[in-house]
Amino acid sequence: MNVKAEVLRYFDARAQAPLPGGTEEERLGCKYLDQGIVDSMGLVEMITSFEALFGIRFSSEDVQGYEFQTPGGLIGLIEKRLAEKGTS
Amino acid sequence: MPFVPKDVVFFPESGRWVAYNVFARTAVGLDASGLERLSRLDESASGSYKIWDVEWFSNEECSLFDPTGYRREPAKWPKERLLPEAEFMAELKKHAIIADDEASYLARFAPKRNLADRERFGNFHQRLGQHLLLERREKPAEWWLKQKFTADQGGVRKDTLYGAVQLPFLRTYFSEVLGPGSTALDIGCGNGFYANLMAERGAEVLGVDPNEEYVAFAGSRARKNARFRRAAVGEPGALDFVASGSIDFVYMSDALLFYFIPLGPKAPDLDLLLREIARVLKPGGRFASLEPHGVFYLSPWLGAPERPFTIVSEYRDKKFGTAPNPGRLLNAVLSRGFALSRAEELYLSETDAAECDARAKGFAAQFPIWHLFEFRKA
Repeated sequence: MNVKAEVLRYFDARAQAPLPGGTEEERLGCKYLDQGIVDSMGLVEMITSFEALFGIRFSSEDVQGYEFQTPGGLIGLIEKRLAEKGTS
Repeated sequence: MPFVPKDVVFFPESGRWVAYNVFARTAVGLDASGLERLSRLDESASGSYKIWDVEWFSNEECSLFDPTGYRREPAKWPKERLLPEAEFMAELKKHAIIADDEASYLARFAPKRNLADRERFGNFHQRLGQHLLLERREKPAEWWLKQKFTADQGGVRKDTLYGAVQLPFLRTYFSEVLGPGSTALDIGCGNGFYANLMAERGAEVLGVDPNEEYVAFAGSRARKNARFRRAAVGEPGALDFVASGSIDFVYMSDALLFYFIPLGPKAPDLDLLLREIARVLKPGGRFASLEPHGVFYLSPWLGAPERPFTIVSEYRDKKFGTAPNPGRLLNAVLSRGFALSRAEELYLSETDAAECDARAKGFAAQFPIWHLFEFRKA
């Protein structure tokens, strides 16, 4: 599964506003919580959606960590969890 | 150079130490060598130090289960981590036991910007939301009912101070102020338990709440002389269906505080609420508000269970706390056409068959967790 495509598709379909930025790099670096693109309930929904979609489980450390705050970091984190799943 | 903020205190715990930031309510467990490292922050070092993750959301089971925020008994501490110098220092910074400079440290005492914000400490409600939604994956509205009432919502949990302190007091108080023929209005009635308790005293009771689900549930359990209705309390016209001068007793519990320290960005309109209460009350009618004590509610439970002490870290301006101090609450109501007719601070009394733990009993016997103010129209 293409993690980046799935994550960006989720933001396109479910976020309250499009990710700002002219380039993909800018969009991936967007601090979507600080910018109000995903609100608190939206965040909870996003966590459960990604967990179901990728068959992973985020720890509370994951979701409150720095990586989780941007789509790019989130993609990296999901890929890391998927890799762990693959090796376990 | 990093420093230990003056807000940090150290408690002995069976040969180990807890470093505790009383404003941030953050903590780590240390041994003597970690503690010693803190005493010479001006020196560089290259050792490794043990750290125990003792900080936790200790209100997890109930808002009144030990609000202190760290695991006390070393036997229940998670296994220690041995961290090299740099990681040890980073962990101490994360828990606000040390800080790089005053400005960046103080900036952390601000509302959380979003649900995942761990840098800013936020207030109690924000921390609760973060813990429930991100760690327990539980809905806060359901938790609030579960932490106070039994699983079937038919009674108050006896293992909490709600059951040990608040309920015995209310049983007596309602008997004193209500009886057959009297009329009562419970504003913010929730699941209707207390409105039904008033109805058991013979009063005709109307319970109102903005939450549709609560009202539906309360209606399904209503006593013969209790009824429930949804009302957007705090909004204009919300209580228009209650006739002027028709009520003997207006009751609010754990609701008035939100008019002072709001959940959202804007406080509801206290003027409007009190005007409406004055309007529906009969001449000589009472308005009683049972609220978390502005000093001791969520105050840390420290010391030995039988000799408790606490640390008051904020009073006039609340950053963490959720309840206004008593003077502010009283002045706000008294300046809007009411007179005080009764004031009670609620303690655990010896006769209460409390099933909560020794620390809760010890604290509640010495410090009031709630107060009740009763007013009449002036």
